[in-house]
Amino acid sequence: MNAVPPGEDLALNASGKSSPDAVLIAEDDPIFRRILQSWLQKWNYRVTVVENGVDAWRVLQQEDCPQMAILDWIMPGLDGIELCHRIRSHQHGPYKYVLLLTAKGAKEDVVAGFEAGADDYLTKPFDVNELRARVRAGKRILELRAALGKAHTELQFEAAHDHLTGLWNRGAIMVYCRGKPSARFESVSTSG
Amino acid sequence: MKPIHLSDIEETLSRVSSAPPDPVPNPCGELLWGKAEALERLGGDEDLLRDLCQIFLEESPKLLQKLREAIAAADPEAIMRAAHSIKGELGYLGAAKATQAAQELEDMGHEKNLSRATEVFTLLDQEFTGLRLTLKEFAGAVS
Repeated sequence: MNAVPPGEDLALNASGKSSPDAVLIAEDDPIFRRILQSWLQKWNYRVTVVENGVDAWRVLQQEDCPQMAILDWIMPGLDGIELCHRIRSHQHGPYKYVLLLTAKGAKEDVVAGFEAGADDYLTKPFDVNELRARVRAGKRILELRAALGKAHTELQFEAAHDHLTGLWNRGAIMVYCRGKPSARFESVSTSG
Repeated sequence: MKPIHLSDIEETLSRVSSAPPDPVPNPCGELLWGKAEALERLGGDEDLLRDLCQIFLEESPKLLQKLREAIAAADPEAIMRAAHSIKGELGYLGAAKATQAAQELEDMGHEKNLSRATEVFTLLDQEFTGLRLTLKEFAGAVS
């Protein structure tokens, strides 16, 4: 892969500061909060823990927020479903992987959860192996997405730059001129 | 529950068909909660289970009080929420009978039919008293 010339940081954007190892846990129940926190930390995830949906949303709006969110379905303030809706409709930065926690036997919850934009779900009472498997699957998807995003930016860079000099190529300059209001004005006035 | 394992079917069938009832291998505390079951979920981490019991002992009286107040106020929404939280915790600890009672209360709240709420709450409260004693014993024991 070509080295990115100094001053050009396009290819770096995809990786960002927030990594697939960071997880937000939003759970109002102290027992489940303890279980999730304890295990995820043991598996070397960087964990942010909140006790309600409003705090979860505050964290998720931050620039370097965790890319994975484990959200309880029923919480005071904002519930997991409403959070899902918000995450998907205010998508900024890297993709957020959402794992919803639901109660046993609530099939309609699962369907509504997926419709709201959840990626996966976990039914309480879950066991440690299931949690690990689901979180790993989420991490894998985030890593694939990051790799894809990086490849995409690198391709974009290569398509817009001259191989030898690393300067903008003709296509990129044309796109730039077309996008500039003053350049557009000039082209209109000369053709008139 | 699915998936069904052949060994489970065999075990159930043998339990049903064999004439004498199983001898009770567990101390009576095991009837109130499923320690083995909870431990298995936690990958055998007894320290974590002990922590969870501590949290339960501290937090569950508040939840139970919330539920009691919700029933006194005949507030189906509040009953549903409080019962739901209690159910989740009891379910994790494998307290089958108490979980069942909490589930019933949650359903009553959901259906806004509170005619049996006090009755079921009394049952839940009784289970709680026994459960708390057993958990205290376990959580207090030094590993």
